[in-house]
Amino acid sequence: MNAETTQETIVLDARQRRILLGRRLMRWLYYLLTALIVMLFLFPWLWVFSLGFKTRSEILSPTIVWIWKPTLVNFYEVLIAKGYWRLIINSLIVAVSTVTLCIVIGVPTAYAFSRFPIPGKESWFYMILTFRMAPAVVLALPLYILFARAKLLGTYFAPILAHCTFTLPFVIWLMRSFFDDIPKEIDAAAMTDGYSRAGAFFHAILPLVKSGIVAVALFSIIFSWNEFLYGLILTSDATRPVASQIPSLIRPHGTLWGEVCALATTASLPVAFLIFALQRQLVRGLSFGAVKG
Amino acid sequence: MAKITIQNLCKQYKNGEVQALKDISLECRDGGFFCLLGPAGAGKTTTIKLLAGIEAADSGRILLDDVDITDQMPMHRDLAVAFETYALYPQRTVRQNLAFPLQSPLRKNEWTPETMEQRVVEIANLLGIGELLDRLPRQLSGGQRQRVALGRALVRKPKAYLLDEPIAHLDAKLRHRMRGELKRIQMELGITTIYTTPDQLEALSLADTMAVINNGRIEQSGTPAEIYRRPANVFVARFVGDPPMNILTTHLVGDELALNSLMRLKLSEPFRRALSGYPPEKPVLLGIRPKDMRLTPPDAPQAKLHAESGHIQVLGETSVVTLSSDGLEIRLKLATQQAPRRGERVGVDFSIEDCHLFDAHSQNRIATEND
Repeated sequence: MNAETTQETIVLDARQRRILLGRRLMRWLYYLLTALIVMLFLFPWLWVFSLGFKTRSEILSPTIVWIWKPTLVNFYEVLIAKGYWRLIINSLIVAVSTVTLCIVIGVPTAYAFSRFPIPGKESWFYMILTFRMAPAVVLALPLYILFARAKLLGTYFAPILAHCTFTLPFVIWLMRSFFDDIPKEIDAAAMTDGYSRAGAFFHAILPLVKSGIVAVALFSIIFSWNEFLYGLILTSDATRPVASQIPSLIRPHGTLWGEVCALATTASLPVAFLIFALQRQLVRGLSFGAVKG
Repeated sequence: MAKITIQNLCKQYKNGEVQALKDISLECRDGGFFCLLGPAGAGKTTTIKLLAGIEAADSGRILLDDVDITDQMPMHRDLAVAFETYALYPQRTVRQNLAFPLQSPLRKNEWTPETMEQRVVEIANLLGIGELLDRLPRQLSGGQRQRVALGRALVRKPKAYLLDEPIAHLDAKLRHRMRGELKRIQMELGITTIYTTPDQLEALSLADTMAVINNGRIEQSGTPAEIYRRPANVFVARFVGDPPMNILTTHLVGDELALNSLMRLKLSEPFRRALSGYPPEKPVLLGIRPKDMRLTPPDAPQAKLHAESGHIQVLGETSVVTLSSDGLEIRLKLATQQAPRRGERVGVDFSIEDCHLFDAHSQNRIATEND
């Protein structure tokens, strides 16, 4: 019963009023809890965001400065004067290349895992997962030596290939579960409708996992974007992604907190923008599975 | 148009745990309507999948117009399939689903957008889904989805149609209409059709040749009339015909069949000859269709069997009466106005010419010279 429309004409008895009150209370509790959780996640980012617009003395003041005149000095210093805007381009190059590579290789691989009788399939599948489980330091040294031999150190290829070690398993694992959710009869129908196996994949199956691919790609971009260790040790100053360069702002005479925060804020913007832009696809991709025709 | 021949087809699943098809051989003539009739799990869908090339056979051959296509890709076989599970493309509208086979790279030059649209609308109207063309599959009921699946097969003119229980999920009235429509379409186009169904009435009314399949084995194949009149074994006898044939266990005593102390049935000359040399201790299964039995007053001289009437199922003009006699259950089909009251004592009469005899051990038909 809707209280707004009925309260003028119908006098509610005490029991009904209690139920209504209870329901309203529950709704407010729900909102409060949601707000708390959002705050918890948003607070560090807001803190970093605000520090970027403060002067050094405001940042280091023993009492928190709540009201201040925002300044763009930190942004100018780190992005223009130090030329770190290039690092954001580096990150973009690395992340986009990594994800493109992983989607191009990973999606067909996942399809093959889902559809074909590969000998020892599940063992292969778990082997791929172990790459994802291994901590970066375990692979860092072997990769360093490999890339040094192949003369790839300091090029974009080094971080791109290194990032594939954890994004590719992620893509294969998630995409396989998306493909597994699609009945095999859909492939069969497309093939009897006059399409080759590849034609069936591109025309009948791929359109079904579009949202899934977007979600997986987005996560992979974030993984690559946030990666620190490989970006630090496998690159040169010219090819280093932004996340790995932040420690250079920690100087012997003190950390340049304002510039750290300004850089971090700038670096988080492209990803934040991507997530907002693809929000709808992301939610659909994550709640994927209900495609049974 | 094409003749389809299946030779000694075998298929296992799960490393041999499940033997889906055991040495299946069939032939469907060019332009024929062939029904594969069998209960759930008999191997009907597996046969369709192997024919379509979706799954590979373990052994055996499939010939299309005497050309071996066993190892050919599904797309090159040019067979149109309607799947039992529909397998519609969920992101495409009904119109796009129906047009999909026509957009195949194989048929690029055959269709213009206008002729394609015309064909899609024609098929949709035929199947009564003309108003649903812009809906997505998930916005359709089960019966509507099934018609889209059927339409996607019928939209093109392949060498043969493979229809896997294509009207099973329609409501009774629509199913009846579609049965007529399918037969008409097939006759008009003259395209070879292989059709699976668990419904014996559907098979008998549609097919010009049919086969009964059970547990991955062909029990019998032939024309519907042959299968109905001369069932090859007890399974076929009971599966084809509704209600199922009554099967009574009898013994040969002299030139009579004895059913315990309830009945003595004098054998006709052809049966006596067929049973000559049959060991007297070995039981003979006597089959008689419910429609071939008549009720008589209990004291009538021609009554072969006496029983008490039990459950009566009224089907409209006809009724199915269950009679019981000393633990034995017999079903009769007769005009509703002749149905007895529940609990009434009745006599049963039938003619020996309408009976079928089966070997109790092998369950196979004991053939007579009339067969």
